[in-house]
Amino acid sequence: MKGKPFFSSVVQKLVIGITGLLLCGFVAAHLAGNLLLYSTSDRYAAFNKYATTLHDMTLLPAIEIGLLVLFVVHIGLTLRMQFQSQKARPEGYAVQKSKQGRGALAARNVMHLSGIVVLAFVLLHLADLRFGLRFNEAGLAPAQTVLQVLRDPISAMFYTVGSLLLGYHLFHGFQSSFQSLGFGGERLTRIVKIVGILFSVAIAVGFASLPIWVTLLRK
Amino acid sequence: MSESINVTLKVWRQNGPGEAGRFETYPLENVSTHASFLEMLDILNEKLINTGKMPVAFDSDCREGICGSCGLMIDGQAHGPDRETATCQLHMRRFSDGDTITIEPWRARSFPILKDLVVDRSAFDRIIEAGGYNSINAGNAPDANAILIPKIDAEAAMDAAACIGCGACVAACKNASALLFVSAKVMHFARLPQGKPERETRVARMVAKMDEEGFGSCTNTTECEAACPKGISFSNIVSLRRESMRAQCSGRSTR
Ligand code: HEM
Ligand code: FES
Repeated sequence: MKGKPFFSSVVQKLVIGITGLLLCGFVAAHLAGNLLLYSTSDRYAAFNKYATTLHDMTLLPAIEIGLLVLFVVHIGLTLRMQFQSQKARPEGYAVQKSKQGRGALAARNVMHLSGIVVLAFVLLHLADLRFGLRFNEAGLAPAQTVLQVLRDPISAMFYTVGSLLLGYHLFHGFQSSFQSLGFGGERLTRIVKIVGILFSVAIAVGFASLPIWVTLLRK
Repeated sequence: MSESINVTLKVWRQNGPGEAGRFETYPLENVSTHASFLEMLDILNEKLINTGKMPVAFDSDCREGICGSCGLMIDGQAHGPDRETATCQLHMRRFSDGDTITIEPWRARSFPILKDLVVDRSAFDRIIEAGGYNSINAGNAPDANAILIPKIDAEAAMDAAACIGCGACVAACKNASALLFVSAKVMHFARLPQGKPERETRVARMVAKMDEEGFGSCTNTTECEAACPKGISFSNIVSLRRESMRAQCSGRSTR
């Protein structure tokens, strides 16, 4: 067969779903670690211990590379998919209305936009805390470094908005990935949808609560 | 409810494939609320012909919701505002006096416009040709109950077989994806014993053809299911993905 593509659109979506779901696992684990900041006793001993253990892990570089690959594959394939779909309808409708009573800004319709904001947030976040490009005072305990970043109004704002939009991304993304994986019939899908809503709200509220807490209460 | 209404139609007019189109506005008075939507367009066309103008081209055949010929984007919704209703089953009592109704053709690169509201849906035929059939010799009609099919499978296959191939799923999908159509055809066969011998090649070929025809990629918005005049369930798409994976893993998908 001539010009046969290496993988079909169904396989492409499967890979997007797998990378999305693995990234969900990552953000859930990341949030669990971050929430240790709320244990303020003993100068954030719990968070500091967790952060130091994590940083000293021999496997850390491998995990970081794995995450990088997940992001690159996820973003690369979703962009490709988006591009293909735009080509599939070169001329749009004058009027278009959902039969599900959902607006143009429903999570499912703006995945690429919420994704791009999340990407911007992730990049700023990496610059701040992984590479210390904006704040690099030496000798601070991990918790102090984080608080220093979160006290910065620009970071606080970006982190809040980024967290909320990550939740919005997952509002559709979590349950969508199960369907991309071919998981579930009608009943299981209903359950997955409920879990997805709870998960996305937990992620959004959990992450966004930290910059808000630092800004409002930890002056 | 009054027995007749006045409406204004904004209709997409296009002389031929690839030509520039435009909306034309036609006021239509005293339309019976008992008229079907297509009868209303017939009335418009009679008026246009009587005044020496070109009638609006649109597809229809059975006008009883079973053939899949009709299909219009009505006020931004495939087949109009009702669920599980083909355009030919939509009636003017669904509209109010004074309404402006925008009528557009299905829009997708794979469904090129032939004229006005008529699109070329032969891409669907080519997907069927790629695998939507049985080519094994299934023998004569077996005795009743000689082949046992679990009721749940028989029901699900029948539900999938209800697809009339109208293209509303493509029209309503923001990605112009044809996956609901393809999944209905694939799962109709895959659930029945007669369809099983060829299930791996069928799903692989039909999906490959669908991609080749230039349809977009499904992002699970379920807008197709809401637009489908036959209520084909989105769960067919989820099943197609399992079917697709099963075929890949079996190593028999390319035979
Ligand atoms: C921590 C970060 C992220 C997580 C946890 C995540 C998670 C997910 C999940 C679970 C899906 C659904 C997959 C499916 O339906 O098969 C998804 C889809 C998608 N993601 Fe992400 N994502 C992340 C970051 C990004 C970024 C940075 C971008 C882009 C610039 C992006 C763009 C998209 C797009 C365009 C889709 C497909 C949309 C659709 O199905 O309509 N994502 N993501
Ligand atoms: S004309 Fe046959 S389904 Fe509408």
